[in-house]
Amino acid sequence: MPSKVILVSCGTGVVTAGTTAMKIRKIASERKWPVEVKVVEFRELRQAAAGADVIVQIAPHDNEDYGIPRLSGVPFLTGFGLDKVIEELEAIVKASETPLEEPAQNGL
Amino acid sequence: MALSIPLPTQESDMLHLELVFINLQARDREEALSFLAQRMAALGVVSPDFPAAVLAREKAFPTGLQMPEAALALPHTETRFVLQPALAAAVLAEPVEFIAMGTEMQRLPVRLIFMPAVLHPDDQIQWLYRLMTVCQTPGFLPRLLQSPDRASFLGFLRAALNAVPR
Repeated sequence: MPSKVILVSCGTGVVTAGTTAMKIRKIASERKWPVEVKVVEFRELRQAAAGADVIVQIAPHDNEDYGIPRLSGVPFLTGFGLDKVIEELEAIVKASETPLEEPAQNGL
Repeated sequence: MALSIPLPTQESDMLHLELVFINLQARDREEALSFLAQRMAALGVVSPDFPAAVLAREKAFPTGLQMPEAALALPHTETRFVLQPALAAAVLAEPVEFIAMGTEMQRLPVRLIFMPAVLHPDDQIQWLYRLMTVCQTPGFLPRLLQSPDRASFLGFLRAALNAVPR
């Protein structure tokens, strides 16, 4: 069961975010991270962030706090600084579940 | 329009000899981008609106990328301006300034431009992923930048892309 959700966002959600997401999926599969990687358009970010653990973004679109960490996606395209950003992402992926994770939806 | 068939993207689908330019003279990035985008429109792989859309997008979301051995730019725009998947490429005679992706101010001297026209994101993103992978490969970009003509540029690029595991 995927335990963490990684959002990947760029301007139009197609080319750069898609390419970045492909690299992250490959890394996740090599490292056996239990994650779901979703490409979202910038305008969908607020809504998507509610159910996600981290945003990997190509451009810093705004300074809003979506309540989850943001990382730069550029190293996934260039290879520059890639080890560092993989380490940061891995720390988030492997962190234990936060109590905020799932608001009670089961009627209990 | 009859040319666009949604099959997994191969080098032969994306690469066109007519869209490779070696030793291109351009005063600035707008001139280089306009030239490449207009050649794509003239070949019929993108709509007549594509050049303006690429220029506008580059302003809003710059695409300069500092790869380990050289800087390049990856200007592009939305699928609705694209009729057929293709890549236009230019090696400039002199570098022009691009802004680095994800920044507002960081300037990069760029001599290599890849302008992809993406129609079927799932397929062409696989392809672009391979392109970015070869661009990170030691020795690739310096050699590509020294291509004496468009045929050797394409031949070297094609061979490198084919060597990336799918």
